[in-house]
Amino acid sequence: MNLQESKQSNCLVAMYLYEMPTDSSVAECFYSIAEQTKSVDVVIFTNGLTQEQVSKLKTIAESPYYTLTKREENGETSEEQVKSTKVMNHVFIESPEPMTFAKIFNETFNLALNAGYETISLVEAEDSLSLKWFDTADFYAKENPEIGIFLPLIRNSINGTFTGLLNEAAWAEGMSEEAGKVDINLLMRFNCINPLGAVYKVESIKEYAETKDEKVLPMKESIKLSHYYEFFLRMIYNDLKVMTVPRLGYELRIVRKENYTDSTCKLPQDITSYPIGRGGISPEEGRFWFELAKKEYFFDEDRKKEYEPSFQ
Amino acid sequence: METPVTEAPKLSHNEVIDLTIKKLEENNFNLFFYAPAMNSPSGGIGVLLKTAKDLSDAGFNVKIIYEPALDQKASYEESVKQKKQVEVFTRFNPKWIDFNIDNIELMPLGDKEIFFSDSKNSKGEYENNKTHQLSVNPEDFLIIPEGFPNIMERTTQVSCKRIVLAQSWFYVLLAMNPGQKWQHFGIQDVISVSDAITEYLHSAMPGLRIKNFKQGISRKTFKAPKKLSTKFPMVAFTGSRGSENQMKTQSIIKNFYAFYPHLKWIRFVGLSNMDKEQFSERLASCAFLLYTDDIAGFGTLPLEAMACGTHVVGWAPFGGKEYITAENGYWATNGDIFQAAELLGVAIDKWLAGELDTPAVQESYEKTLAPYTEEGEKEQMLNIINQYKNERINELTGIKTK
Repeated sequence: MNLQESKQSNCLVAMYLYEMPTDSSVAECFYSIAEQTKSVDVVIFTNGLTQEQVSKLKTIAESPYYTLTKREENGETSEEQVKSTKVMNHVFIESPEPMTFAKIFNETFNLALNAGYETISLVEAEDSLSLKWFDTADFYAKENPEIGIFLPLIRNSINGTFTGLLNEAAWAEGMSEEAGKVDINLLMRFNCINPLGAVYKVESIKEYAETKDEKVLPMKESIKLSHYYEFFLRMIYNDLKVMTVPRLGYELRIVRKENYTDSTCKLPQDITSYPIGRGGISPEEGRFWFELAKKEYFFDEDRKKEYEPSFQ
Repeated sequence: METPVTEAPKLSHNEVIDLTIKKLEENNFNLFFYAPAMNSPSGGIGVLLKTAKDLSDAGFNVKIIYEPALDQKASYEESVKQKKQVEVFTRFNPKWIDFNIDNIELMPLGDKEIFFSDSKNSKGEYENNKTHQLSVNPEDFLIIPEGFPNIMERTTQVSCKRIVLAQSWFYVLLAMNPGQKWQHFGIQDVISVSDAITEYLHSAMPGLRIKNFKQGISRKTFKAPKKLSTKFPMVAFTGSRGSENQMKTQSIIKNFYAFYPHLKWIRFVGLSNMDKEQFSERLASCAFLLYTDDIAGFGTLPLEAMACGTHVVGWAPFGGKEYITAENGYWATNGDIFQAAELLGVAIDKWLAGELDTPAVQESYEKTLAPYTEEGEKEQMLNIINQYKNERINELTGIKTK
């Protein structure tokens, strides 16, 4: 599929829906994209949803809104839908198979490359963006042309409770060599980047990505859990500059789910306690993937390493 | 036969006054500035020297007088070497200022030749340096900073006009005896650098003749960085009012981290031990200034920060009352540590959310800065000196005998 005809901006934002989110959460996510002060185009990948569900999503995408909860004078609360005044330029694409986060990234990347988009970004349906985020990122990009990836500060909440900010480590005292820029030493110390909401420059990333069957594959799809960690390690190792824009750009909401799938980069903290059948992973396997990321980033191509459990 | 002695014709009282008036009219008089001989950066001395420079540039005969401070270490070493008590002094050499005062004479006061620690010859021996006794004429002016009542007292008998340059309210009474006033030293005239000081002096020493003077902020030195993205999530701070002030500043920082754990990555950077250029660059690179000068006479630092596009959070000192508004900073009650820490978090959260990136914020800073220009500062000081000159002429005319 080529998005050239529907292209109205230089940035392509992608999201993947494999289960029906609540109307209000997806509507708020769409609203935050539609109301951006610098407009973007959106591609929504779906898989496993009924026609009815997709149809409902399309209706919401046509007229995004957020729900405002008001407290009346008598103490009761009421809800009001605030509709977007702007149109969200979007395309729905039905994926023939379930998509992992790495695959979503790669598919979006190739769509952007073929349609001539300069940048891409990934969001998840429960989350929302600051309304000026893409404008701010664009401003930083103009002032810092040497930077390949712009990370937002992320406001993180778990089950509705604010827990802190993400992507901030590069600004902390003594963490990185250059304030605000993520370097290999910092990233090797711990995985301090969350890939959601970040603005990725297509041309800069292409240089360090594997090309296979005429497709560019920046993220290694064979790697579980740590695919994006390996991606950032490889990009930074290859001297692609990554900076955190010191502005809140993304609100990440972690909601407890019954099943974990690799289509999200929101790794539950207790993933090792999930049953295997519901996406759980053993502590040993978890360690394996993160250790693997620290070894594989030297290679541009996906060497398709696999986890082999040791039986004791 | 005795050689006849030709004496200069003795001038009458009125002739002396006419001569003095003529000298005043022709700007043929000296403007002496008394300066404490501090070689480390000081805002107050900086203002005094800048004023001296502006007047010198305008064609006045400006001289800076100072009392050399004893260099304890050099004196001890030389005394040991010479096996007798030797005093070595430090020359007043304010290299830290960002303007040139080479054309202004710096006069060490004293009644004998002295050694300066920087005046050794090729053999490593100290050379004698001349000192000066203060010699003034009725047409001259002596400008004394507010914190030196001892100088005011010691110059009570001089014939020139003495004017106090008041840059602080805090030090005005500190070195004075209870009930003492500048009027007791024969001083009536004051140049005040802020509305707050003027208000304070009117209460503490009613009857003084006060002229107001607004300092200028150098927009060449203090300016926003060319790239806005080089403004970092950092907070500049000083704590320049001694160890207690430093402890309070640190307390604000620690409380801020305790109140806002999600902002523990925000850095605080000190603004001490740097020259003006480094100072302004560091200030401009920070998104915020934590201002904790609780006894400021005026407080140029918040204005310098605004000129750099750096948002001000901190205490609202009495001295800054003429420019502090709800629109140009996050001002806490003077001395309130908890409120300052809390406001700092509020302001940083707003900045991170992009709420301070609006033109309205910078417009409010420009509105605040408008009265404090370097050009205005020079013009006002020239007007003030000309007013004093005219007042002196009128005063002298009034005491001419009929």
